[in-house]
Amino acid sequence: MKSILLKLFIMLCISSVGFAADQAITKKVLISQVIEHPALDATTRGIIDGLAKKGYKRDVNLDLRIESAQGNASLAAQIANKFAMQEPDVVVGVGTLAAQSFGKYTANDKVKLVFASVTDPSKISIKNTTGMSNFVKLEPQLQLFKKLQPNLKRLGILYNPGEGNSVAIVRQLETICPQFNIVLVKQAVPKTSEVPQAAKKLAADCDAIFISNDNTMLSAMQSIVKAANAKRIPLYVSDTAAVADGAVAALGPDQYSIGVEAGMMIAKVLDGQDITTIPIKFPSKTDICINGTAAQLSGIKVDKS
Amino acid sequence: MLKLRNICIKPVLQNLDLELSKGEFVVVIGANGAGKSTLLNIISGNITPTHGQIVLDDQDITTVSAANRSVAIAKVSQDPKVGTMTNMTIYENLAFAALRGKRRGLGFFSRRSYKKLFKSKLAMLHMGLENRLNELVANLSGGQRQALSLIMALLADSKVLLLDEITAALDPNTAENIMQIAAQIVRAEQRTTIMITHNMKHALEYDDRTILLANGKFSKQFDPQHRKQLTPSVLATEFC
Amino acid sequence: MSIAELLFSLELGMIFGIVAIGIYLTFRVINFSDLTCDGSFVLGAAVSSILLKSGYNPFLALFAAVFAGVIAGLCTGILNIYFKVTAILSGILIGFMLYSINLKVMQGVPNLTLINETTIFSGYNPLVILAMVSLVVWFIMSYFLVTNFGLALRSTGQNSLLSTTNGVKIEYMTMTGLALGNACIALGGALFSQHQGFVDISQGIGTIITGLAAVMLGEKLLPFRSPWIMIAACFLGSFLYRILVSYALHSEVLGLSTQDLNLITGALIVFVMIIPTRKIQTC
Repeated sequence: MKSILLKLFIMLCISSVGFAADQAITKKVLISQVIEHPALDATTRGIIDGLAKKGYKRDVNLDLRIESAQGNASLAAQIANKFAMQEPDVVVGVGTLAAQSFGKYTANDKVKLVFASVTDPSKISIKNTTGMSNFVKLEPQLQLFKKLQPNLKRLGILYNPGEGNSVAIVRQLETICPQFNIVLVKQAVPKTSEVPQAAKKLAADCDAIFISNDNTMLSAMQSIVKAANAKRIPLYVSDTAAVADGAVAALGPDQYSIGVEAGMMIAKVLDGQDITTIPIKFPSKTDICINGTAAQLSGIKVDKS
Repeated sequence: MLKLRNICIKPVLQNLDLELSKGEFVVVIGANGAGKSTLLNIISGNITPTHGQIVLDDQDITTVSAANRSVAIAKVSQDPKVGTMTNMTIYENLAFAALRGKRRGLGFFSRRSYKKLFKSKLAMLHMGLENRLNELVANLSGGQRQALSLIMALLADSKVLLLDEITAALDPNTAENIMQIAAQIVRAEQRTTIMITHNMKHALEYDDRTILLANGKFSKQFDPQHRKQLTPSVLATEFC
Repeated sequence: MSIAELLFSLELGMIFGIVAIGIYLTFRVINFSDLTCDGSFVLGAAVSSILLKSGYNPFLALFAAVFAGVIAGLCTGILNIYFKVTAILSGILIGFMLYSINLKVMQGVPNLTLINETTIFSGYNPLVILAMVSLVVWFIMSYFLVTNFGLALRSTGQNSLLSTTNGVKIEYMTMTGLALGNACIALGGALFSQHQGFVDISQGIGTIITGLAAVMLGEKLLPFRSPWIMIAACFLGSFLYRILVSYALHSEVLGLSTQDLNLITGALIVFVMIIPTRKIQTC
């Protein structure tokens, strides 16, 4: 019986060679997303729509496939390998882990990588790479908060120390906040389940809570809104889409438009432009988004200017 | 050679004394719950008595751990599954037992010299096990496993051998066989032995003296001289 | 699936085969359900990465990772033996605490890139390097299990009572098994991070599942008892697991989507597991 099993195994290996054939006519774009998450899903949707805007329509003249690595690094590695072997025109990494897993292949010219939703592009190798970062400058955001809340002294920040983007932002805030006469109160929360307690604790200790683009905090948004409302303090975010969920204000692009811009960059590469001539972009189009009801709740007067 | 003084463990044993000379074969009998297995566990070190002293060859071993005592004191229990490693071969079981008390280093456990030694030891059993060294113990019957535990216990040069109802889980024929083999080896090698049994026939046939454990103490001793008057049924009545 | 994907599965199969050996040592040999693995996998990667970034020799970084794994395993052992915490909880606790320790080792940054560092793979074919490392690990672990010490270690997992009555110190054996097991897992983590060019604090999640799947698949494929074969089976099982994942990734041909990946991989594993095999043969 074991010999049958071994034979099966060998057959599996042999038959696997020479699998699905290629269609050379259409352009091939393969997207690897680090994990299923509303923010990242929105970015991917944006990419597809951005490509469509530039004339590359899915299933018409574009072979587009999406895989999620489910937050698993070894799965990301296998996905990257599979994509690289399929001779794509462009591979897309949505999220830092996904983008990093293509590192080996960009290094030896196997693929061209366009990333999206990576806060710190220095983590991705430069060769054959470009992309759309989601890092929003912090100074304009702090300015907005100060404008809305002139007596803002203590700004609390909730973040997951396991998310590189958030850690980078916290570090930057530590240097910038003193310039605005703000004391930064940090609260690290490694798990979604611990958010309600941490939010309550932080809300008691500061004048406003900021959660930037932290994925863990965004997924536990409602608990933080509750905690902030209980203490009548405002909640600030960097994702304009989250404002509708109860945050008071955000200065930033939304994840969808980041995706659209990334999609347009991909289209440029598909059109034949040399990837080295396309610089990495940071969100330029930022919106101020304010939630009137939430603002009232925390006693903020909104001046239309 | 082995002395037990004033051993107490609540609620079973109180102020128990026992003395064994080298090469003696003593049988302990008693009702269920009298404390026979407890006594053997105390000697082997698995249970610590609340009071008392155990002296082996003029050395106080009361506080020595079970693992450290295992060189000097070998035990065969009644469950064949406890006495052998089910998922190892006969050879591996014996190779494992052979190093009792010795340093287990980084040499291969598979050796020709071991194979020869084990074959000769197993041949004593007359069960054909010496030809099945590479067979898994899981494939052996209860009696064969019990015989194997016996050989394993006898491999290292232990001073005292404890037999805890070794035939209890076996059918009458196998029980008889195992008992004979055990007694033969013990006699031939002059091993100091304490045996627990419910089988009165065995008690009378193989021992130097039989002791009755009741009420936490050794209450009666039956010497060889008075053996002739004893029959299994007479012995059995002593229990009540 | 192309040949290149097959070879990549082989590479990952070897890295995670070493991890599977670590799981085999704890779960099977000493019968200790050790859940430290998710933490020690990242610990190995973190230690190796920090040393690489500080300019140390990449092989030295691997050794340091192994050493770190040993320490992690010993901690679990200390919790279990001296503080009498149950086996599963000890592993969970140490794995849990390692999350913070790993972040500390990575100096607070949850994701480190190694693109510009020299790794053991720089300039060489990764398949060759991994084959060499795997061969060394296979030899050391198999040899260890066929010694008298290794036999005593195995006995601990089989019948601890009999072990004790034969003079084996269970505490010592448990510590050794945990130390060696986690050393292998940490080595796997270090190799993975050097292979991929980055280390991420989350990359340990799911190590226990892939490890156990590899061990069980290996046992199914090569149901022999010789330690040399058992250790080799860990590599084979890991390789098969990676191939199954690779297949599942191609399931769009069947009209399935990316969300069904876990379902498909699981189904494939179940299929392999339920194929009946002969009883375990003697060596």
